[in-house]
Amino acid sequence: MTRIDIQQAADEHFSRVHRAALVLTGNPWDADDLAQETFLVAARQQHKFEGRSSLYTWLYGILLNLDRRERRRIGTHYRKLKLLSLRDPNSTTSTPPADSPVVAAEWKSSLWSYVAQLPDGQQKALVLRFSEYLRYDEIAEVLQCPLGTVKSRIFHGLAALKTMLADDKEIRQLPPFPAEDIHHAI
Amino acid sequence: MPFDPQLFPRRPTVDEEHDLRLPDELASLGEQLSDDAEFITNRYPGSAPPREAVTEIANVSGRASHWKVWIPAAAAAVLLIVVSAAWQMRRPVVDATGVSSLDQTRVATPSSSDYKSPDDDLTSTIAAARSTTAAPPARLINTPVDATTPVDLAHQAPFPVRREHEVRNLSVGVLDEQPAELEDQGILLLQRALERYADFIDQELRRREVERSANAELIQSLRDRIAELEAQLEQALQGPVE
Repeated sequence: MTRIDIQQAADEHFSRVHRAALVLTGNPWDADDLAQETFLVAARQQHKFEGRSSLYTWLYGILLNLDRRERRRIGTHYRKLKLLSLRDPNSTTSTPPADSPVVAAEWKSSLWSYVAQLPDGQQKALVLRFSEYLRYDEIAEVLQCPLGTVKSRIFHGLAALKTMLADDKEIRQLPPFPAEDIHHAI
Repeated sequence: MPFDPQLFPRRPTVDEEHDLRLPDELASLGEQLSDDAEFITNRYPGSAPPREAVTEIANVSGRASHWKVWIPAAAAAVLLIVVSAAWQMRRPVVDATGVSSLDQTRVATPSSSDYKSPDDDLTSTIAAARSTTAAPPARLINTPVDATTPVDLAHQAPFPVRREHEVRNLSVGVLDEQPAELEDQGILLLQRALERYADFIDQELRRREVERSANAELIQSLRDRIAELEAQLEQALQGPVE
């Protein structure tokens, strides 16, 4: 068990953890919550850090677990709401669907909104590689999968991304971004 | 012209250093992803968690981690002591006569000299079977077994059954060789349990046989009574109408 200075870790690694959370969620507030929760969980479970891996790969592991848990929780709520709406077919509510995320316009007009439609493994591999610049072996350590699987996920993820962009008839010219604020993207 | 699947590479290619070698289009996509991530991050910088909260949680976690280690260890130690004490209390003690405490606490199985004749027992058994449809198994275990009954169902047990004197000899022999080996004791206990189970199955089969025969007698008597009543009814119908 390695004693870590969690405050120093927050000073050093918060920005990169927050960046990963932001490209994963697309929502600045959710990203703030996710990144802060990552460091609080790390502070709570610092006795589990054995020092065999880098501190930031351990933090990325916590972040991805929290993100997965949050998606599962939202999915459960969505299914419950869907069941409730099915019980009342005459309901004419104007509330947007529960699975419609509130995302930043910049994120929605970036390639990361396409990455969010990829399978979970490919999405996380692309985030860790092209947003966090982790090495392949570090990605394998975070995702707890073989090195070959990481390479395969990145390759096929990029290939799927290229196909999605080709299918999209309205491919946008990426920067400059519109200077809009947050809006609901349904 | 047949389709050549090798035209489109399905697997990622690696270079001599086993690093992923991306095609130019995919590599440019990766660079675009990196640029997008930088842009979004600069647009929405995050706010770090409050220092006080992190420090407090880290301190509380540091204190609690010691308890998280010690509490399961202490619980495991207490459980081990309780189990070992219970095992020591469970071990049989051989008295001066060579009969172990397990033999004394064993459910008594009547010997062949205690058996009654079939005629004595059958009447009371039929009456009991008529009065109740299901007897509790505990009573059946202590019910005398009639070995002279024509239908001996003991051989129907799906395992070899040791007789009582064989088990007693086995137990005394094992317990004389102190210290008793745990494996032999386990075999002895298992043998006894199987013997009781075989006795129970034997008694249960016998009870059902008796019950079946009692039901047959009852059905026959009811049929006779019905025939008698039918005869009386027919006789009454053929008589003069007043």
